[in-house]
Amino acid sequence: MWDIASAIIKWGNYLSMAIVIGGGFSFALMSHIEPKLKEATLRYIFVGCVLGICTTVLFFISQVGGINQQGLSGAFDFSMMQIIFQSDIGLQTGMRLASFIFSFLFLWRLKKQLDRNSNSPILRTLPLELYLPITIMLAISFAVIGHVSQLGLIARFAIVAHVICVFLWIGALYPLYLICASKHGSKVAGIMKEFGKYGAYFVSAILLSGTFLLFQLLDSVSEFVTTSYGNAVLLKLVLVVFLLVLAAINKFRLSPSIEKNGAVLKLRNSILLEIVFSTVIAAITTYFTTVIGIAHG
Amino acid sequence: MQLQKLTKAVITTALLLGISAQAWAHTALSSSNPAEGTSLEAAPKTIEMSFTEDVKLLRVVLTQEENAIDIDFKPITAAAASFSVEVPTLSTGTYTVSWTALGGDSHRVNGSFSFGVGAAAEEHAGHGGEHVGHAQHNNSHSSH
Repeated sequence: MWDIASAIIKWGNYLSMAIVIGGGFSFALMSHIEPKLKEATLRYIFVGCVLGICTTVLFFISQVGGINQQGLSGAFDFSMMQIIFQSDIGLQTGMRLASFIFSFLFLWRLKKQLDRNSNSPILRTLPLELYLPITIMLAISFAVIGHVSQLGLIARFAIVAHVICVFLWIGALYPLYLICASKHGSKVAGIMKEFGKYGAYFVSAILLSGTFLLFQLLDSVSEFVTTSYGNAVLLKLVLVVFLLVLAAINKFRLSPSIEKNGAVLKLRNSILLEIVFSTVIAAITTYFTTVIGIAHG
Repeated sequence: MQLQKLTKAVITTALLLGISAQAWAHTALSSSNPAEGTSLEAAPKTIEMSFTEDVKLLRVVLTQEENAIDIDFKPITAAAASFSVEVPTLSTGTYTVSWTALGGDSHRVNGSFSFGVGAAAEEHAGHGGEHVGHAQHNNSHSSH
């Protein structure tokens, strides 16, 4: 029970990180979009912060519950909480909680300013000096526990680069979907071109770092078919290929055709499919990193 | 439209197939004393456990037919590969030791093993062994 609960909560935690990181990136792409869409994006990031805070706390509690194995009451064992908090799980929890709370407070202040003046110059962009530390902190939290934490520095750097690029990409999809669904056809082309430019770098970094990590974590290629962990990774890879195909169609076929009637609708639907695929990929990843482990020997 | 149908089919298939819940941990119990499935003539004074790597042993529960026996176990936060847990005098019967540990990578691992004390334990040794076989595959992980 606790394993499944941990996996589901972790899934929500991953999505919240994608929203906060990717949402901030998409906001930066929207410099010439009307304030209403930018406000919608800020609300999206706000939801990500709240979801992030809740799921980070719940995940920690689920770890305590999983250790005590005494039902819900065991999950709130204060002495065990202290022990777990002093471990690397506590470090990861602290890093994520700090990042989400900081983002939440900043956005709350931003919202108050916008309520007073919706044409505020603050809406132009979110400050990089604020967003970069939050992004890096959330990404580094992936390297402090788990299999990768036992590997060398390069592997840990690879996981950090991997999650930053993944979250920048998939977290930006919903705001892009909103833009396509709005009446800003002429602006969509410019934004998609800009996103596509960065997207190429993200995909390259994701593939490079992901491949490197696979070589580090699996003993042999045969594990793709002989172990449950390998099966799950293989399934994830298949879905990633589908996602890349969709992204390529968006970049090379649909985005250039945006001026044509109906192309924006197709692009919007394609982005929606990307969102679904990436959500499923996140679920598979949380499952095999939480419930299934790596086979050795 | 064709692409959408294909996509829906792929997603549905992937979700329906599911993934086996077999779990393999790289932190595992390498040996115990009493060993799994053994029958002892005399009750042990301690239960010893050795792991494949240094772990923090956070929970040990001793039960006899689902009745917990008070062994006053306190979580051990210092990482080590071997542990010895004192137990009170045990009467004839079959006992199960359930444990939870945190590996070096903060993976949470659970497991259990059974043993018998006295003549009656021989009747249950095979039964206990089957449960242990299942329990040894019962692992959970948290990472990232």
